[in-house]
Amino acid sequence: MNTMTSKNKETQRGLDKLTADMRPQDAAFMRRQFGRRSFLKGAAGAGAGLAAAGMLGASAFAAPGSLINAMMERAQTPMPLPDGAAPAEEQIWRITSDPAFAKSLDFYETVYNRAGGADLNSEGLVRMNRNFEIIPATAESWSGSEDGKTWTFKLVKNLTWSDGNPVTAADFVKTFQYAADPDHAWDFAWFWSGNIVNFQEAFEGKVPVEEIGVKQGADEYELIFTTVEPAPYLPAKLIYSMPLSKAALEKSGPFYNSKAETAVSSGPFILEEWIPDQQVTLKRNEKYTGTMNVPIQKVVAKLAAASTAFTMYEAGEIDQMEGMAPAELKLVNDDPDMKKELYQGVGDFACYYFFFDTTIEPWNDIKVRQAFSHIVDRDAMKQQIWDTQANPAPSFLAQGFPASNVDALKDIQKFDPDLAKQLLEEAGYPDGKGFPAVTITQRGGAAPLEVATIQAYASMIKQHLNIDAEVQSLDRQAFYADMKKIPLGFVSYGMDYFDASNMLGVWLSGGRHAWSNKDYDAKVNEATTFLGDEAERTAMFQEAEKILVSDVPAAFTFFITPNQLVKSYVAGPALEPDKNGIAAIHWPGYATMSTVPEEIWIADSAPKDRS
Amino acid sequence: MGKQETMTTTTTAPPKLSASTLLSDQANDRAMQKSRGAMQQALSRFRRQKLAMVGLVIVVALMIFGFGAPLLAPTGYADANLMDANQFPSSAHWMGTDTIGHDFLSRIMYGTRTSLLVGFAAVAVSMLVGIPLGLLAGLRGGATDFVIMRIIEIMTAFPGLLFAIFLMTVLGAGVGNIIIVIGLTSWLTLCRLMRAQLFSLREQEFIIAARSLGATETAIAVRHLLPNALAPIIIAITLAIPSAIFAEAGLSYLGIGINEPTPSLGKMVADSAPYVRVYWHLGVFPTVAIGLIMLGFSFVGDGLRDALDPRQM
Repeated sequence: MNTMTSKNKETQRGLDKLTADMRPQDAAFMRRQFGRRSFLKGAAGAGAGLAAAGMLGASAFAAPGSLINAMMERAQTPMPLPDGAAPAEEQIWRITSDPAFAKSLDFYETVYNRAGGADLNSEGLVRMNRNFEIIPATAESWSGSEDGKTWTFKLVKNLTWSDGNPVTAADFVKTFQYAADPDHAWDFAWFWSGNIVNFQEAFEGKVPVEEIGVKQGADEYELIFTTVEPAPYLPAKLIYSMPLSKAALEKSGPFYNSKAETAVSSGPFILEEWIPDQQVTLKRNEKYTGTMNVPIQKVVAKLAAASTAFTMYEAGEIDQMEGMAPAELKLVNDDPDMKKELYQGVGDFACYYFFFDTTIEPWNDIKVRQAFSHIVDRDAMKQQIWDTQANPAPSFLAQGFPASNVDALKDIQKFDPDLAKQLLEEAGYPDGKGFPAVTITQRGGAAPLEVATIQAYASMIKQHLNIDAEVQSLDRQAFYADMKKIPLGFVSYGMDYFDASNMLGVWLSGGRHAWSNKDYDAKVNEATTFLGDEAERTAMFQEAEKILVSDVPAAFTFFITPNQLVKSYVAGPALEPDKNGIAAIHWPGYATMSTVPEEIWIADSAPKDRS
Repeated sequence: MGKQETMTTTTTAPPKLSASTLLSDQANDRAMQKSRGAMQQALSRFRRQKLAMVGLVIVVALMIFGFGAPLLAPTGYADANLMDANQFPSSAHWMGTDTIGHDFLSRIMYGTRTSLLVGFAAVAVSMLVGIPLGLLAGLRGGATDFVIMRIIEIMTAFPGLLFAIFLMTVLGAGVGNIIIVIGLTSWLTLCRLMRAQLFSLREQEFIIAARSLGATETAIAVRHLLPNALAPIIIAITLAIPSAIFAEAGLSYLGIGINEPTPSLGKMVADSAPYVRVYWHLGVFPTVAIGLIMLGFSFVGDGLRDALDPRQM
């Protein structure tokens, strides 16, 4: 996975058990996912059309055989490079990757410690295109049972691993069993816990992993998932399903993809060389049989701290970067050539916020929380810190995300220092007197944008409430492990799949934060499983979000709009506007869970002998 | 080099001193006058050194600059106005403002205060640990010395920075903790120096004389050994202060030192890294401040060494 994905996702999720049984089940998800948004207006692309057909019909989806055949044919004959592309040997995609997190190339090995270039060694059942639509990858069709609890995926036949073995249901079964294996202690197990039958039980060691609800169907090209509750969103959630090779896992053990000798791939790339703390190089998997036409021939992830990315980009050592410091963005904007290489994306619709432990003093007093939410001067932050890298977030669901309602909610936590002072006085702390010292906890390795925002908030607490606020940094792992016990902290959450139930599920009782609200739980759960009218369902989610914003478990601060720098010689549809007019390499970036690998190449204007 | 010299001189002056103390108060007074004379000589030697005086001026100026911050600084260190952020030096903000909108001059002043405070206090901690242990090892010798020296060897073998990081992680960030941590990792030199001094002094004739006249070990230690071992210790302390300040800057640079919004020069340098190409003042001023502190104390330390150097007597 490229830096964009690993960095974003890594930063956005807690290691805490955000179990899926807290995540609402969405009976109407499939039917609505695309109808609800305006994405399909004028949708013409085959993938989008197909996806829509599948979503809007019964809970079944099938790509016509002709399309699959066409895809297969394309993939199996060497694809001529697009017009204006540099010759094959120049098709190198170079990115950076933080060496601190570079441990594996496989999602099902570790999510939080993937190196750059991860998730190119196999392809999941589905992937996501630029318009956040789910399209087939290893699965050619799927269908759900009447009760929405049994999901059958038909795999594309004739897909093979680089060692010659076919890609079959057995690989997926083995991968999910490995994910649920308590000895493996996978760092992302919460994602499937309580969702797939027996996954949580197996992870807790109560039942053998063979009993989880991921099994082979009638033949080796049929895969069946069974879920605890009706789960029509399951296909969307399965963008995270890049399998490990059963044969390689049994033969070479975990981390077989971290060594070139044992690497096995069914994806477009395979490990060529991994020099620890220096570079991960992936070469083309010559035996790739999948459905993507990938122009890039080599992926190079240079292992360097994120803070050096900008310098490396300027020096022409990498082709793309994300996460500039505010002053770096200013340098870009002051340079007409570089400014042309700047793209503003939406990332994964992540919201960054200051959260309170609402179970302890003084944060259990809503007036205190309100006071602390009315002093966030988002407009000043936008002007002085974020610029184009983020937008003010007076609420939780970002513009463009399903059920987003920013305009209607923007006054609830609006910047109003006088009101804040008054609320603080009503709470018994006139002019901040008697208020305990405040410590804001930030996660280790926070990006410059985050750091500046947190420090600005600390100074606003002092300025408007006359309360001393200190900022402390906590090691990432400790931060996520103790998140519910942090009195006041700063964190973010971005989507894993494109539905309001995903983002709002984070705030359900017993979930990621200490806050608990029965009305909110009821509303979110009701909306998630609601089968009726689309607009009505959206309205329910919006009501839930209103409860969330009004009860102030957090002072919502900014929606990230990641700014990317992409060299001018990088070409392809990935950089053209999507249906919402947003041009940027979309989340989840250069990985097989996305269509980005086939939508990007190096133009012949690129300097020769890049390495 | 210097150590060897020190030993020879201490032998020449002190025997009279030790004898006289045991004789009469009058003699004692005379001896005091003599030692005061020596001190005055050292002072005048110190004053004659231009660099040392420059160093002293720098140190005194920085102390006024830093410890006077609450009175002299334009604003408090936590006061900020985001709308004033990222300004270059001007008549309103002599050193500009930082990314949050703090007045940068105020931040530098309070940062200097933090650095000096850490420097002095951490060295005090290392004195409290190092000197008694050095005395103990040097006086008792034998098993006590063996144990203390092995502790020192173990701690020397273990990288100081790593140990400091470990301690900071356990104790948590904060000015108090960083003082303790730096003190606890920097007492080795003082301890070893103290011990070496005592070892060389212990066998001198005036000590043997005192012992044969019936002086207790404690009296010998306090009245004869400590004053004679003091000069190199004073020099070591002076030079330990900038090291401690630099250690704080290093730890803060790594993000495990002092929490925002308490300013620290090291942290200011670290924080400026992504900004310095546009906002040069964010990097230049704290770097210059650290440089001046280091320079000032180093000059004073060198001057003291030369002033107390017996070759000049």
